[in-house]
Amino acid sequence: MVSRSEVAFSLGLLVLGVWIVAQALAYGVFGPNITGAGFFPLIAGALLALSSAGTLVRQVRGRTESGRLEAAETLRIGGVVALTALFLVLVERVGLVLLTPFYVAVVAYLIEWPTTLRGHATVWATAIGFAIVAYLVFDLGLNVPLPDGFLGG
Amino acid sequence: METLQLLLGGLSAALSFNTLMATLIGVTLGLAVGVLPALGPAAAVAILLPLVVKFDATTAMAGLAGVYYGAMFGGAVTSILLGIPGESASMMTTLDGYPLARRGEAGRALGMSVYASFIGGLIALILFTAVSAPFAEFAIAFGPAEMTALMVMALSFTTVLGGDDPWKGFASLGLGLWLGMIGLDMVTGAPRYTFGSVELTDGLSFSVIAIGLYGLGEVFAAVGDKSGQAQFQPTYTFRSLFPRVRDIVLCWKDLVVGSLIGFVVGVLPGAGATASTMFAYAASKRMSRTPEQFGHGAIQGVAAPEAANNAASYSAMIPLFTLGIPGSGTTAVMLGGLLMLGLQPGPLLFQERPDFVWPVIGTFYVGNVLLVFLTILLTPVLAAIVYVPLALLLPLVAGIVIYGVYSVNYLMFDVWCALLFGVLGYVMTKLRYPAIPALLGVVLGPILEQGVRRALISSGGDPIIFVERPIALVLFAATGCLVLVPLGRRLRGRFRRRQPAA
Repeated sequence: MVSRSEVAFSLGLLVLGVWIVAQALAYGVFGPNITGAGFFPLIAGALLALSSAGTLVRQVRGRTESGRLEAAETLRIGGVVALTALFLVLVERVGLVLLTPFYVAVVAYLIEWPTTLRGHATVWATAIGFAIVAYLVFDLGLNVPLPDGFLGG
Repeated sequence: METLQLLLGGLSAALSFNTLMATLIGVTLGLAVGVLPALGPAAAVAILLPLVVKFDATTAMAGLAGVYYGAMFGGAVTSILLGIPGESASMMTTLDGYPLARRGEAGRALGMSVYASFIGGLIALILFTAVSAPFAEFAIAFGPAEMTALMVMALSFTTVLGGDDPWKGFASLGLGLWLGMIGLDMVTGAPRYTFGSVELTDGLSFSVIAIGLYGLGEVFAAVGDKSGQAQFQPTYTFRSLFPRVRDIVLCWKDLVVGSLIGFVVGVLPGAGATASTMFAYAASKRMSRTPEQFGHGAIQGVAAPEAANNAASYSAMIPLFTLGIPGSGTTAVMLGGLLMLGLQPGPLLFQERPDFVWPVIGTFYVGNVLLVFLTILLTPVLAAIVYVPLALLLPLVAGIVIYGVYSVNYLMFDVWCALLFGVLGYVMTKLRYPAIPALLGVVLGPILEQGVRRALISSGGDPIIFVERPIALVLFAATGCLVLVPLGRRLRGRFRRRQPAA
């Protein structure tokens, strides 16, 4: 059976490959010493486009072992990705260390909701503990200027 | 003699406090990574890249390599105790290790796995030391034409590293090549695929792509598939973890043959540690007087694959160090790490940076010894790690990734890119697109482009430069074989399948 997600992904790669080739042609494929700025991108784009087209044909003919994205699984991962994106948006304003415990805890809840009080306590203790360790290692140990949000004034 | 002196100097440098600590931390992390089915050594090395580049090259490489070979020791623990291979390279150990644990001999199997890993590592390291320097010396004669041929050959490993579907492997390679070309053109200075972004003019950082595709991609895949959580807990005593003299005598042939198979297979690109364990297991079974016991708890079935996977993890670094070509996912990430550290792996590395190469080889010896004690001491802890719920572990890994990626260039832009590559890595994993060719493309693509264009500039645009040297010709011919032989086999298979139908 043809996997729609796989066909869509191959199609996406094919379009990307064609676009890379078009851009490469615009950069100029040949130059004074044979190769121009677009020479290697042309090879990369052509390789991507041709192999995606090959994959697509094989998928439609049912000749390739199909992988697929399951809806429930994709939804859970989509939740983690969306949460990470929200975290990255808020980090500049709130501060990385301050926001980390909430991020770690919410991702943990998204993966599996604890059923006992002890489970909730473990999640929050882990989240806060990680933020402290990350602060000690990165900010104090490695002198990385972590985004400090409103705490930094 | 000179090699021995260099090795002794390297060993002495490897025992300096910083390097020793890096090795210790690396191998300990490797043990933990080897235990966890949700995280492979390639992902762990990728996640650690941003942290280690803050240290000097020897310290950084000692830590990264420690993770790799440490994972080979750690993988056996859960294979034997729980029947869950933490690493694919420990899969064969499960066949006899787990039955041994089920009948109350977990300690015996664990002891043998540690001893076998040590012997495998030691034999491989002695061969590594003897072979790599002369090999690098031979490769020093390589000019731009030979290096170009070598890079083309390395990229053609996609046919063996790209999984079952070569079309998907080449699509992944094309994607990686393109990602490696984002930024300013090295000759004309023209921006390519930068979308007008200032951050992209320097190109995408290798660590961002590697962490995204491998690190976050694996985290997302593990979020989706929460299987692999341990259910059964066997019992063993600390005393029982020490190998028995009788077992050592019984398994000596399996240990030597397993180590040699591991060494040879490990050097071959794409074959890797997992394949070496299969060959070693098969050879051990064939040599045995009681082959019927294999699969039901034969101690030789633990000895041979464990010696092989550790030997393969060391020998896989020979092509990386001497030719600058990676033969596996983990060594591809390590190659990126070497470049980030400002080193150019290849024939000249042994000549120009002996102060780096020999201490790193020294850390391999030290790490191999350290792992014997650490594995025995930490076995109870390692077995317990498997019971850490993924709901706690995965957010922590995601957190480490965010902090690590940010700390490379202090840019949130990099973290956004890593997230994007994480999603891409997850989709590729689910749809069975191999990520290794993409990483090969990112690392080797720019080197190949630079080599070809420089060679053409030096020859005044005459492409004959690439085929007028015999070594380059041989390498191009070997590349042709690498690409065409699997294709020929596939076509022959298809032809044979069609014949009966006709």
